[in-house]
Amino acid sequence: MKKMEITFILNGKEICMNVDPEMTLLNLLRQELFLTGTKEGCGIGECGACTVLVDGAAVNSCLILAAQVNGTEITTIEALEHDGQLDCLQKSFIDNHAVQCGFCTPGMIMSAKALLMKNPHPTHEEIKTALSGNLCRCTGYKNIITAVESAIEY
Amino acid sequence: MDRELFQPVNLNDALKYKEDHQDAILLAGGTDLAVAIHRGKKSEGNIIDLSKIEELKKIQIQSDEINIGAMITFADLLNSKIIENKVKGICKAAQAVGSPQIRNKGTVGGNICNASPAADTVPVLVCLNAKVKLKSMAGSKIRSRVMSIEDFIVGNNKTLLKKNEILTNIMFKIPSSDTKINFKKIGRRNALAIARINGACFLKMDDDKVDKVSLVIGSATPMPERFNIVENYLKDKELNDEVLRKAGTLAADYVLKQTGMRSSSTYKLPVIVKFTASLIENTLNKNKGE
Repeated sequence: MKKMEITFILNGKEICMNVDPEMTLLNLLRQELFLTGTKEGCGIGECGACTVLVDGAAVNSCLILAAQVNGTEITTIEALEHDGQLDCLQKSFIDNHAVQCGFCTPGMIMSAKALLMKNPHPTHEEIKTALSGNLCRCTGYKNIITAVESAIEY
Repeated sequence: MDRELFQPVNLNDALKYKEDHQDAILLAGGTDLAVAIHRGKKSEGNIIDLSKIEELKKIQIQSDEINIGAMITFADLLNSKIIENKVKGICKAAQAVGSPQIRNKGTVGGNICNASPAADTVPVLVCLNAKVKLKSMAGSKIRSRVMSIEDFIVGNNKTLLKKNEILTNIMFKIPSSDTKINFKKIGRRNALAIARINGACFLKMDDDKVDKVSLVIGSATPMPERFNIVENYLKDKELNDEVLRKAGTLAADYVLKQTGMRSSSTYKLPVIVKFTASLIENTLNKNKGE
């Protein structure tokens, strides 16, 4: 497909690039921008491993075409750490043993981040709903939900 | 010649492009199209990205109707004060779609045009007698036609959208405050699940008897339709256990008549009996105006 120039904000920095408009945002991040924190679990929007924020909303980056990123603000897992300091969600996931293989973790944290940005004091049910698009095969989810609940207090 | 993606910022440009490139694929939220591309389908033809057209992203009250722009996402429906105040029953259907991530991108227009028999917003919209507006451009003139969603969807992933048309709006009359609308879904999981069966019921009671009822059981027939045989049975009846059971049986019999015996029928038909009864009963017990 004919390449297209897109301009967007990525983790606070403006990026302008020529892209295959049909490339997914997931592949754009991983292959073109070498931000491999965002993972591909299924490629069809059914696992949430590829979750990033677009204009503050959690989305499956495997379902977004690069062209649609034009004019938007993207936040990936890499944005959460600042100068060696982990985000409260990242600290809470570690403290609450919410990471086993770690593959779902970036997506889980980004979904939780989107929730806490909009609703700083969610209920247990609201946390479960916010994470309902993220699958984990390792933990059984309990520690993940506890980690999000604890992060509120950090 | 290289394929291209066209990204207009206004509807007129999109319509002009569609007129000139009638094989171009329309990209709404991308939650269906991106999967098709991933699977190697839809590899021919240009793409028209509708995501930057602001006039397709409005929910408005126009006279006695609610008008939903085709690019309104399921999340937009859930966040809309108009929807919350006037027809909250749609929210249950929107909330049942996929996951938060999919709800943030998937659109009502896309859900209708994809025309999956398992589409979650379609049963509610059919119960509301919702219509779609389809626009096209001929020369410099914009043409517009309106039809009911029930007429628009003609089969599994098939609609009457012409090659030069774009679905721009979904409209329905604001239901009166003495009516109730409800939605139910059965999936293999509580989230990230395609409906095995879903359905919507619109109910107006006259004291304890049914005055008006609309019923759609989805993921059961090839295209969404009002279950008139059940609606006619329920008219003027009290909704006791016996009536609800009979309604459920009529619904299941109708599905069997429409589809014949299928591999899923052994599971679906007995479930439809109880599902239908439960859907109608839950609708009756909902707060009015929702």
